[in-house]
Amino acid sequence: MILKNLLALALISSLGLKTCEDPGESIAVDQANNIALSIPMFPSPFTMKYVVDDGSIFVHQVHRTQNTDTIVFQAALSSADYSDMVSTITGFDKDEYINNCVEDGQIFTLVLTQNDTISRQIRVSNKYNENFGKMVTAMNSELPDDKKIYYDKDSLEQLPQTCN
Amino acid sequence: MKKTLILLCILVVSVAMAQDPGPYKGYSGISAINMSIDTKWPANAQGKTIIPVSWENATPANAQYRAWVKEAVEAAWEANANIDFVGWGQASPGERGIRILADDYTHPHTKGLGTQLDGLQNGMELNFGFLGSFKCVGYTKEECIKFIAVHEFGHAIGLAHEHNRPDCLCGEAPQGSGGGYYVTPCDLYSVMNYCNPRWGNHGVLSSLDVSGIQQIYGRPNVAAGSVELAEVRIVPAYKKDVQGLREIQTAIDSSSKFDIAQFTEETTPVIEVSQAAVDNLPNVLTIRYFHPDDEEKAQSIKTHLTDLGVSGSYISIESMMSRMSRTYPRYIEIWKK
Repeated sequence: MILKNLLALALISSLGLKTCEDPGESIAVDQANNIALSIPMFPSPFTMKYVVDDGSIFVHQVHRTQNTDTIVFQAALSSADYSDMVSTITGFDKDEYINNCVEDGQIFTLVLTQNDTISRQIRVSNKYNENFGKMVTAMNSELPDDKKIYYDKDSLEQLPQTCN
Repeated sequence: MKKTLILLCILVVSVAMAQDPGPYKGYSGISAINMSIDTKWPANAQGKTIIPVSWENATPANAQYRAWVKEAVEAAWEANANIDFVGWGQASPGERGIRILADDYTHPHTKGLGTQLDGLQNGMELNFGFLGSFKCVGYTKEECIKFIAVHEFGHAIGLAHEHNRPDCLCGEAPQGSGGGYYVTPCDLYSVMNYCNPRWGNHGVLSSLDVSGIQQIYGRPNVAAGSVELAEVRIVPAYKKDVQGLREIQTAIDSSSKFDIAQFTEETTPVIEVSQAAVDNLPNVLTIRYFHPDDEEKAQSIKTHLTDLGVSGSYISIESMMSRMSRTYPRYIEIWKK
């Protein structure tokens, strides 16, 4: 078994591939200017956090109660345009889109940081929002299948909007 | 018949169907389980709550995962409360009860609490594949499926998030409905608390979860026809009925069918059950006894209670009716809010 793993590792190295957990080349997120999308996986204590800046996208796995943070994916932006994403965020007409008739489910917090200051924070909980959908689509265009963000218009529109 | 015999008495019996409430007894009826009490599933005549469960998409491929869900729910909720989840087969059109959709991409959720899910298609969604942005990390797939199932079934029996309580706020924002009916003190270790340092308490009900759910649904495996009473509050209709009521008290207390924690004798006569009395006694059984000649009065109070919205969940406890019939043979009505 150990031998098999070593062989696999050697093969990965020889092909120049990076594992998700390996930060690889030292690209770092721009702390002063970025967009962060947090998706808590309630009821579990884990949150998937997607951070995009002008040139890269990072996916973090955060353990909320243990305060651990692991980068599980990183890549340079290839098709999404960061300035378009910033425009999308500034275009939200409200800061909160919350459906309290659903327990747990799809809950998102989107934070725009500009010049080290949080300039916009949007919360979306179990609701479909066109603008937010655009943001997710843009991020998903940069992500491998197993990291894509689930934001399903059909299922969200079927959720009860008024609580009994 | 003498007119003075028209009304013998009205009894108000406050019930918290709990096991030993222990140190939390004082919380009964005050206001740390957090529940939307209006969504409580009704019990049958024997005091057991039977809730049908079905799958929208039961397949051989997800059989193992469905089995884990059932196992976890039985070990947590069924083993600790007088609840029986039945069925667990493929849902048919119009199926009642909790209907679960297994979806490999969904973020697990319920579309409401308790009876709001009754017959609701895809009322609960569970994730078995963890293929999308909802991942199972740090635990085995079996653990993730079981921990989540216990939490979502907590919602399905009416429980809101523990950390939504104003006295239980933590680092997580309140989510979903507020609940509002608090049975025990704030419980960090509740399976319903996002801030629990052990995720979902690893699928095991905390001691306060157990205490709380038993106050709401009763202890498990209570013999048919019997009921556990944490407190019996006796309110005489007239002062002169006190002696008769004490006889009733003795009859209840001596019955092997009842486990009475304590009797409280009210001194203020109450002729009718008021809205305030109903509101102030959550999880109440209101038991009224009428003399055989008092049918008209019985009906008027029944109408009054219906107007107050406490009808519709009429239950009868056969053993108690039988027991009490020796004293007042005709009218015994037991209502549960």
